[in-house]
Amino acid sequence: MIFNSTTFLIFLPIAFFLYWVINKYGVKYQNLLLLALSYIFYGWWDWVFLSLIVVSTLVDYIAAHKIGAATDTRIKKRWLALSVVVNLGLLGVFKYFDFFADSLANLFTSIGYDAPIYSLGIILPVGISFYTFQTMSYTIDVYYGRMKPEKDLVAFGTYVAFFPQLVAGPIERATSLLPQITRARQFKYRQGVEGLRLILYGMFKKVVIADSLAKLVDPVFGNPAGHNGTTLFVSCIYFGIQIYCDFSGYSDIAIGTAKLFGIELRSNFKFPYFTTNIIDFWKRWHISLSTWFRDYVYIPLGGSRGSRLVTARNLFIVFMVSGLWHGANWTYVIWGMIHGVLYLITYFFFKPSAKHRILSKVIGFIITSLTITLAWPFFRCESIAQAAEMVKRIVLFAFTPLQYGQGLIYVGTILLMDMLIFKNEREPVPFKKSFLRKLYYSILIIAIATNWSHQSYNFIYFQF
Amino acid sequence: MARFIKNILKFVLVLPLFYLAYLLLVACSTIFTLKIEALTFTNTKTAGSNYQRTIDLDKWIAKTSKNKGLILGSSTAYKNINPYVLSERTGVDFFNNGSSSQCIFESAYLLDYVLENTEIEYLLLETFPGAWDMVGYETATDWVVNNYKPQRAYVFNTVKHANSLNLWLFYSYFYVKRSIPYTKDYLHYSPDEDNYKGLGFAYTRDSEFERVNSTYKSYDTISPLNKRSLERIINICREKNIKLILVMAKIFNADINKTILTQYDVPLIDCNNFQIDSTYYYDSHHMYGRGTDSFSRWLGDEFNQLMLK
Repeated sequence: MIFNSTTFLIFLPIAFFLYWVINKYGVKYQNLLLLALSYIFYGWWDWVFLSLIVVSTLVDYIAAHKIGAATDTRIKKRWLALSVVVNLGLLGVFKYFDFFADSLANLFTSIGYDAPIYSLGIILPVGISFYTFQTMSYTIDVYYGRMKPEKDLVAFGTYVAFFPQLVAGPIERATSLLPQITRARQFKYRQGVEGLRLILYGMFKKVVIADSLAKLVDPVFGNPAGHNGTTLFVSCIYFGIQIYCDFSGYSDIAIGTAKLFGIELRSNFKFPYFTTNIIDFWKRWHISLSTWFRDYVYIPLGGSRGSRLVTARNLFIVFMVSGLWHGANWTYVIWGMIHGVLYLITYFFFKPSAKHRILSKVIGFIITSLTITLAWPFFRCESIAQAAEMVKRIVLFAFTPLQYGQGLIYVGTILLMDMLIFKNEREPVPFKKSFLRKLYYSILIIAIATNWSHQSYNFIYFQF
Repeated sequence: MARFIKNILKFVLVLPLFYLAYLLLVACSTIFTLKIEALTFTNTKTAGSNYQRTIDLDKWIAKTSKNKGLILGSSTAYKNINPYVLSERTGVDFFNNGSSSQCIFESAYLLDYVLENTEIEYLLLETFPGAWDMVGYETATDWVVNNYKPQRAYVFNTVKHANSLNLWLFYSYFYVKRSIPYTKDYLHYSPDEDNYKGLGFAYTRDSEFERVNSTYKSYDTISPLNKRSLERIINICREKNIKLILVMAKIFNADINKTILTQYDVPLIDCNNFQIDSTYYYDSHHMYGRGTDSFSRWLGDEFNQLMLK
């Protein structure tokens, strides 16, 4: 089931109603219902792949208990290794097997050995990169003693499969989400209203902005050779806004839906395009993934505790792995590496001028926006050659009249709307007066309804 | 909780009023500019979807010629069949009313409309197998947007069958807008630069679409509604003594269950028998304009042979 579908619009109120009706019987029943709803939500897409979630849940539940019960560090390590191997194994088989097999075969071919290609040809289970990371972080936290293993299997299963954030995050930590699931919840009016507002704003971003831009972006990225430098450059900007609205729209809906069920999720985006350097960008973009890599990869590697060279190595590894996390294609690795290099340059060499603060911010904004924009082709194109060709055509920049200029209105709209709510990403309604708020809601709803497609565009991050 | 639900219900009650105000505002804005309408609702003009064609259909209906032939079908009809060449080859006054992904049930509604207003001698029902089990969204949108009389029964019926929220909103908008005096429609038609050539025919230039390799597809199902509509069309034609010819679109790289059409005792022209290089097509079934003359001549010859029989 996807958020921008009529099925979800029917599912959500029913789930909401049942959830609060059953509240009086206690949190255990509420969690059982939430688990069932989450499995229905996921199973709507494919019941078979639900088994992977169940496997991941059971393995981590057992592993965490064994870690918690063991006194011997070697035994703890073994159970942790089992959890990591199973979760990464699931990812490896379902997401990366064909990619690595293909890359290996190409490598052999390049050195003159004609190797056969072994391909599993399995479709990628939706959300596998998200829930495997979420469950893995739980066992790692238990291993390091940051939390105790959860006894209630239903509550733990709900933590793994909690439907609002199951398929595309935010990737939650057990330390934050599990306590909310295990304690009794009461409906709070304020939280409910905030939830609905976020759902509305998220839907607007996805259905109106992202999907409209997708119609302009797809033909250009599908055939970069057929378009001039101006159009390609503008299409990169459009794609940047499209993916922002697509993914942050999803996160808003997820956070908003969770609020309706009395649960708070972490923020995933904080106006990433209003940034003056790449380090700041990564503090605002896909925050739950960035912090996950920080806590479970960067810091265990040594973080910034060693020499500058070691810090640089650790940062670069994180960006490469982060690129690969996005998809089984070298294009994502290159995209991660580009960001890694930019991050390192900024980290080691960039010192904002204290004298010319405004000027340095303006220059920083322009350079950061440009570099992020020019890296998008590596994220979006199907091959490195295609992305490189696109960047080359943009850099050579033969100015020609712009095609698809109508997309600028969507770019302007979202930037303006984000500017109005800049101080708080969780309060997407910039008006205090009741009438203005209602008018604003109405405009958003009408815009969503008139753009509601009979063939919904999937969220981009579902493929990861 | 009660306060929460009460406030939602209150807002739901107010929402239609806001929508009505919004709708009127956008409709009135077309007196000055069409840009707001384009952004909020839509004004489509693609190859086969344009306002001029609706006007041309009514002009053709109003003509008093006795030897009229109507072509119905999907984009493989309006892009591939040149009615000028076909008319010249057959001596029949053809109008091509194909539209994007036109389903057979939509063709049936359109036939009803045409027969209410004129008499026809021939009906070429071109069916694209890919549309056999579609719901007709694209054609419904075209007819709602590019139609100066949205209240026509065939428009309403197709919207009803496509049953999409945004389509209903478009329908209500264009219905209201066309009731307000001085509002304007998006009428873009310049025969010199446009690919619309009149009589419902759209000429696809090579520069418009890059050629893509088609992937293998199988077409073997027809929705119950389309099947019923096909049988209804056959019965109407028998009752009104209209010579019906089914035309199966040519598709490269496909497996088509032809019995869906051949099971009826109706003449059928299978365009897959037309021999032409695939480079005349930009995908598995859409033809570049440069191939349409020879295809239409071939179709005309097939038509003539069937008529002789």
